[in-house]
Amino acid sequence: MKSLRWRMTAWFALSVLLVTVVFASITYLHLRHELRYERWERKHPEHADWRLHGSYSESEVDDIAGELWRLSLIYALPVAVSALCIGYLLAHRSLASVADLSRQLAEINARNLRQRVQLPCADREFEAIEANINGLLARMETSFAQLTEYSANVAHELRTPLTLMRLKVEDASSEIRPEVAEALQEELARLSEYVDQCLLLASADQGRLVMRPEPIALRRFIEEILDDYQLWAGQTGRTVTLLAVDDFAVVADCRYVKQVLHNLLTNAVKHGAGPIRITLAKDPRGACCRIENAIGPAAAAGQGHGMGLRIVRALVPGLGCSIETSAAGGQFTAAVRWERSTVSGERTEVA
Amino acid sequence: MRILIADDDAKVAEHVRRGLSEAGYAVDVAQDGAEALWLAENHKYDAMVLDVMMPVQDGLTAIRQMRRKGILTPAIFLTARHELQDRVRGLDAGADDYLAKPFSMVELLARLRALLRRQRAEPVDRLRVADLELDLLARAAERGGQRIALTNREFALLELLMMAAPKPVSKTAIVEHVWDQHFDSGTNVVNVYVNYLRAKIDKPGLPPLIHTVRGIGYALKEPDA
Repeated sequence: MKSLRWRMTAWFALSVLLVTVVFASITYLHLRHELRYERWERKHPEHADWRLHGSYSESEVDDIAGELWRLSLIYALPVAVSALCIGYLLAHRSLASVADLSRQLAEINARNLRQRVQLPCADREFEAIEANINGLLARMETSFAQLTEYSANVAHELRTPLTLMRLKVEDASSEIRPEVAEALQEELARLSEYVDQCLLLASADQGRLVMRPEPIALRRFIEEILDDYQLWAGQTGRTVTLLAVDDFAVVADCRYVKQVLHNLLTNAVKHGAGPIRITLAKDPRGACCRIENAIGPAAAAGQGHGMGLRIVRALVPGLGCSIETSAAGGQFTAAVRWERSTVSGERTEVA
Repeated sequence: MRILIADDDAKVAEHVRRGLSEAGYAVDVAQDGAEALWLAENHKYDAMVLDVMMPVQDGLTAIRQMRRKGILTPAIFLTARHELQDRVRGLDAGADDYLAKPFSMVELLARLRALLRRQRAEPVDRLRVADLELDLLARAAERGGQRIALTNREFALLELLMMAAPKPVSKTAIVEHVWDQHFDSGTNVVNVYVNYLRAKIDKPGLPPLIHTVRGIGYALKEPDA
């Protein structure tokens, strides 16, 4: 990407050099002209009334002009360097307000939308930009508050009838057929889960999730939750294995890391086939948690609404990681990749 | 024991009222925060169950005003907002506990009992059903004086069943409280853990305490209870 600072520096330096070259050229040409046509007059040292008249020869003119040309070339480099330095300093000073504005804007996120940018020492031209940006932030703050309120209202409107249905099913469960009561409870639980997932997705998409990063020893973290998935997969004769090639810790919010792993493993159990392999390994880019399994018939038939993976995709930017998925040769792979900056040393003893 | 319920949804309020009445509590119902405040100022309640989002005056404002007026009745918030900051806001406003919607009546009753026990300064570190005892502080279980080794998850499951005893707990409620991630409740994971627990608690020769209540879930109770 082009840098405005360097472009301004180059413009300044080129302008200075252009002016200098024009000035030097005019001086050179004028001097040559003058030397060629100028006649000099001197008094004789012994006879005061004697006058000597003469002019420069062509070789003398060339000699003087050549000296001027040589001096110009010698001074050209320091002049160019000085022009670049002065140009850079001027550009830096001119753009200081832009850098300040950029820094202040970078500090504003979903949690401090009340903050406004301030450029007290900026030139008059920046006043309008400052006012426009602050106006934009005010409108964003209002929209964000409305969106948050809307999400809360949606949560309320969806969960209140679910509460009522659940209480009714609990009330009536001793009076209706047990299998009907069980089925109703399961469907209600599924519906509640779906509502929770939709609201989580909305919060993640809107950047409203508050992250509390902490170091997580990933191998131990996965081992703690693995039993449940092994049990679940075991119902259909499948296995879930963890291969920790490297032991490392990542810095992220453990609630949402758990949610990401839960969604990926749930997908692997529900929509996959065959053994599920989890591999933890470091690589030159950072570290990776890879979940692999064969594609199941349900997934191959395009069943499933993809909500789990959508939530994962919405959560990973806030966790400082990325997700890559691939389906090839009947094999599905989901790889959660942490950049090197978020991966800390080996065997970090943390919860 | 007199309980105040405040919920703008009349049907939910009615179900909660009925559930609490069946559990032996006297119940008053308010339709919004302002009415709840008025009732709390004019009657003495042992506990309150307040919805957070209500018209006229929400639960947060109502509880703040109550605390400001010196009404220290313990309160449980019912709310559809599950995020951490919402819970913190509720507890900071003066609530003593927080129950996310959709909730189970069994859980509301268990939390209410715990709240009332705390009010009476009763020790809540031990739970007992028949000859089964659970020490919440030492995280140890015993049956008939015999120590039972439990994993963390089995302990949490047993604690939930004992808190609700003798009422049954649904599989959904178990998943919500024993696992911090929502499993598909159609899976067998809960049954497997209940069976693990059964194998440890209801050993051959002992009267079984863990019962499957078809259509509802699992209950921990004495055989003749």
